[in-house]
Amino acid sequence: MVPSVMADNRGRARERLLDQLNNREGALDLNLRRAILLRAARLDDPGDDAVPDALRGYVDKVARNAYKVTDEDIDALRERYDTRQIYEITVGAAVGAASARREAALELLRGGQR
Amino acid sequence: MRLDLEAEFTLKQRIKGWLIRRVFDVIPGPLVTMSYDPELFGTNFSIALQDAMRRMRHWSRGEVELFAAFVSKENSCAY
Repeated sequence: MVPSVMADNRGRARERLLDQLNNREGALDLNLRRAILLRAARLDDPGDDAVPDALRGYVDKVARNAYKVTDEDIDALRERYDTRQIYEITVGAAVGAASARREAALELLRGGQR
Repeated sequence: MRLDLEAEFTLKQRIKGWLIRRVFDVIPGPLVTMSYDPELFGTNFSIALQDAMRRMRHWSRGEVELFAAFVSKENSCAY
């Protein structure tokens, strides 16, 4: 592959990742996945949203304190979701939070206030 | 119990996993996570990660790695 094409691919990979998570059909309902991404991106106070109560605690934990996720958290999810769905929930929450942190960091670099 | 993503690997993924284990004795968790669904997550995340870690204009590669290690430590992450 031509180096300039590779560089272009690298620059758009983050956009493609978000696009896939927001629009690609998977094991989880798309609207739910989008809601998870949005909730995880609200780093301070997610408030009420379309994420079901049964998922809010886990999504918030992955977004803010992922190291606190326990086997019991996963076992609780298994009562309602299969492995692939839990994977999509987790990835959605992680990427949502990561994107928000990236934007916050870029804003600081631009001289803005968070 | 944590998610056993490897249990749902395709034959091709299992073969890759076997080869990785032959060399490293274990498949690192992040690699399992990225391999499970490359189209939804793994492929683009991997490229974006390399982009973030290697294309810094104001920091040296060592500084980027050091900062990443610091963030991982703060998040109690071994990777």
